[in-house]
Amino acid sequence: MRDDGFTDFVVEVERPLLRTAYLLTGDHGHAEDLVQTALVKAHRHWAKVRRADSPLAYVRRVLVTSHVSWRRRMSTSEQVIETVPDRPGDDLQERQATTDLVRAALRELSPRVRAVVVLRYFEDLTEAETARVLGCSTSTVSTHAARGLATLRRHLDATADTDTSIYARRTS
Amino acid sequence: MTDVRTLLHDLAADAPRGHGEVTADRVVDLHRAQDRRRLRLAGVAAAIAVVVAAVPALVDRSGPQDAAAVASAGTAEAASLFDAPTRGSLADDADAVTSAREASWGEGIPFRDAGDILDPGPQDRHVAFVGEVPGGQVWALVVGRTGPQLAYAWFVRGETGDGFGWRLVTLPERTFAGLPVALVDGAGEHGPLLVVAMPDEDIDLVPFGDASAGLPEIRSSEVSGGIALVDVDTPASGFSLGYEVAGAVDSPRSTFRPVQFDSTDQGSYGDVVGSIITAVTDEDTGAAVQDCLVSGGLLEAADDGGLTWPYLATDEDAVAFLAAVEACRASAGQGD
Repeated sequence: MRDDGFTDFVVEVERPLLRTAYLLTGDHGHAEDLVQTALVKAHRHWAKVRRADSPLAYVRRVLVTSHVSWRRRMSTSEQVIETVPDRPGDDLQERQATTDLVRAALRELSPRVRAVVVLRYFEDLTEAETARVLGCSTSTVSTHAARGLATLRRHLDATADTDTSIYARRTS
Repeated sequence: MTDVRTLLHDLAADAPRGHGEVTADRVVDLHRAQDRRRLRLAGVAAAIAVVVAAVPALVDRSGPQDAAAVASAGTAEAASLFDAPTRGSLADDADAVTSAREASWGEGIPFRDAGDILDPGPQDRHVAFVGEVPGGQVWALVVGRTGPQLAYAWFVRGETGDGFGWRLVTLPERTFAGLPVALVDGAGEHGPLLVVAMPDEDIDLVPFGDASAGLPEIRSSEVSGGIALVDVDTPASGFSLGYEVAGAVDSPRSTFRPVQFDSTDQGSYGDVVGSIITAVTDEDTGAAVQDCLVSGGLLEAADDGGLTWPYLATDEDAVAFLAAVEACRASAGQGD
């Protein structure tokens, strides 16, 4: 075991972290950048992190807060001010069409709301656990979750109006 | 009702797979590179008997990475401006390209917390654009890669503190594969806007905002090969000309807002940094000046002895800050 277990830790957690990061960012390069950043911070404090009850939870918290921080910083300079999802063409694979749809819907959410949705409904964290990761109250998590789901539903329903086949398959 | 969990897991299946031990090695290399930069800065600080070298905004930015670490990266799957050919009227001018690539990413604008944005060495930078823009200024867009991280910086050629060369006009920012970037000069009633996208992408200019207040007039535009060179009106309050890029890799069609700068702002920012260093390192009165600045809320002193100062968004802010520094120097008896 090298690096006091750090390499083994990375091998174990990189993929789940990348999945979370990909849902937060919707972009492969961005997701890998985010995971790398979180792991560098973990390595900086590795002696402490490895003794934590859940080193993965520590890195996940760094990952999520880094993402929210990046988005906040980017919003002061260059930002997407309007997002109009491409309509999937008939020749696209259905699964690709669905993931494109969900990725576009997630982009409709603010970084914090998106983080709550990902932590609650992908990571299956409780409200209390999500609140600890984001450093906010459980009521805030509850509010964000409700708002996020409503926005997702509204976006997906609106898209369904123009593409009923995808919606029908998705909800079946 | 939509099964959100199922949808999220379906999407997550498209996530990158990772590189395991290669990632771990790269992370360790990056951490060590950051530490080496800290040590270099600490050495400089000791040489001039300064505490400012511990300023978090400086030390949080890592220096050039080991070539091996960077070479093992290259994980972005979609094409990015880092991979695109150099474009612009000076793209064939080797001196212009080389000098832009080697221009400093850390001087010319106020230091603020650049967060996790790393500082790629010149060997890990690529000049995506270099050339004239409407009005005659010469701009350069430099994209850097550190592992999977992509960042970019904008430069304008002109007078700098060291003579004629490239002046950094915006703080380096992150970017991602498939994203275009743009810069606009908001100094005058109208000015240049440059959009840099991938060569095979189309760019549409999209005025937006309060139509009753008048949308910006596009005086001229030349769009070709993923580059838009535009002369556009500058609204009185805020900028309201965006751009759309079609053909971006599997991304939704989006409207973006360009980064704005002021070409007439030659910057008192460098003076601010130099002024602080000069003031707080004076052998006799530096401590008193530092106390004055800290007690006045102009500086914050960290537990490790580092100093930070607020982000100065405008030249007026910088001038006001300089005046406050001078006042503290005067009260401490430094005087010129």
